[in-house]
Amino acid sequence: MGQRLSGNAARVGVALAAGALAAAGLGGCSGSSAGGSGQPASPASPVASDAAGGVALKYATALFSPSPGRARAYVDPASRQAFRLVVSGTAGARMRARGLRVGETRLDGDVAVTTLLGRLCKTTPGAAPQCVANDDPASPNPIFKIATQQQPDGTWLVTLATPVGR
Amino acid sequence: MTALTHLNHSRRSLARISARGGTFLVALALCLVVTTWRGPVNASAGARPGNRAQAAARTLGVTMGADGTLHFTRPRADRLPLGHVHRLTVAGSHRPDGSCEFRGQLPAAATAGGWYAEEVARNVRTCATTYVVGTLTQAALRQLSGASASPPTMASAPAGRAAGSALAGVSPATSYALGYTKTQWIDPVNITITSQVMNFKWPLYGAGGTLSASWPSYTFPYDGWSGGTTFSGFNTLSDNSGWWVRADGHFVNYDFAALVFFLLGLSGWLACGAPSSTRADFYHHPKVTGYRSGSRSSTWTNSVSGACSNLVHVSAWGGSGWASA
Repeated sequence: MGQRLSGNAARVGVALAAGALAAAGLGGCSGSSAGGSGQPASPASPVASDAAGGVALKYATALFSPSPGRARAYVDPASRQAFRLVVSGTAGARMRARGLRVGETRLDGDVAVTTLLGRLCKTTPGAAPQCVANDDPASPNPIFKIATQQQPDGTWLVTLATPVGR
Repeated sequence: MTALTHLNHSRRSLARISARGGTFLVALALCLVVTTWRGPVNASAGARPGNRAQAAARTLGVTMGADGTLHFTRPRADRLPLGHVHRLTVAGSHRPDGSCEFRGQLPAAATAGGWYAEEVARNVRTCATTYVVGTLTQAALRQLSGASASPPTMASAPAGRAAGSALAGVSPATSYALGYTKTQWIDPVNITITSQVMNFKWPLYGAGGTLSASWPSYTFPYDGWSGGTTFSGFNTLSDNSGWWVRADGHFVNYDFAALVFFLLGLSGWLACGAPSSTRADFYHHPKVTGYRSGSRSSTWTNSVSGACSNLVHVSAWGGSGWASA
């Protein structure tokens, strides 16, 4: 079997990872700072929250409709080629959502991450539906999160180039 | 969905990944994020959507054509000094679980020197795979896979005398040939997830001597790997012209998909097929056939199933000598 880090190496790895992340200016990936200030991100302003969260909800609603390709309208142009993978990933399955609504939206500069609430189900031929639900507005589960980015014209669109995790 | 246990722990998984694979996380985060995160706000007045789209496509390294074919757009092959480059499309097959199994075989003549093959396109409906294939010098191969001429041996067996060979009386171990086949699973930003090598040393010209083999493997230091490698043993060709050996590697991991979800959220989950678990199974079956004449051939069969398996691609290469994982 392959190489595994020993306990010491793992501890070194922690330090390296933390240092490298800091050096790369990616602290926001794990610490989610607002505007690079080093402070914890705060919930978005009501206007930004509504706008970003609304787009995230429309995107998810479209993805779980019979025509998931419609969700492309809510995707940042820079992410539209990658978006094909999103639609193709579940080709052959029936995806449905129930009770989708916006939970918490957190703002980090021009990027917002919205947590959705509701129930997501996948049905494949010959198999029972598989569902996952979230009722925690601040759930850490990444599959209920969508990142959006403010565009030059002030609108918000889904981006696939920003980590949703915190 | 009880099987979603692992998804709910993905945050902790990422902490483990950070601890054990900091370099990988940084590399992946940099590749996926830096080009578009934050910076474009002030620069956006001059940004061209077309350019940004191209940048995003480059960083992800996987795109899908209108016909449903996955294209791996940043193969390592682009950076290797390959000779005689050509494309080879190989039919694949579906495994019982619906995943694809990919085969590759190069004729003995093509593998006489060093060679390299990497998947650049995959039709998920037919499982047909297109490889870019080329030759590599032994020096380039050594740099690529750490091949050496003096192997540590993990298994050996008497080759026996060649039945009916006119050379049966020759003193054993007059000379040997060494060869290997190596396969890798590679993630969307060209980080090796897992690799498997089959090394083989065999005697030439019908002499006696000893068959030797090793089958080192590598798994990226995510947490939670399981599985391992089984060795086929030494098998004599039906016409007694040589032997073949194969390594059967099967490695299971839960953190690769968790990382994809961490980065892409709901979109990543859907791109990965909305799996009910983050489990992914990676299989390798590199094989070396060594002939008494000194020639060799390489074949490989690889498959991957489970979460996010559509985002990884395979490479294979081989040459003379003995490779590390």
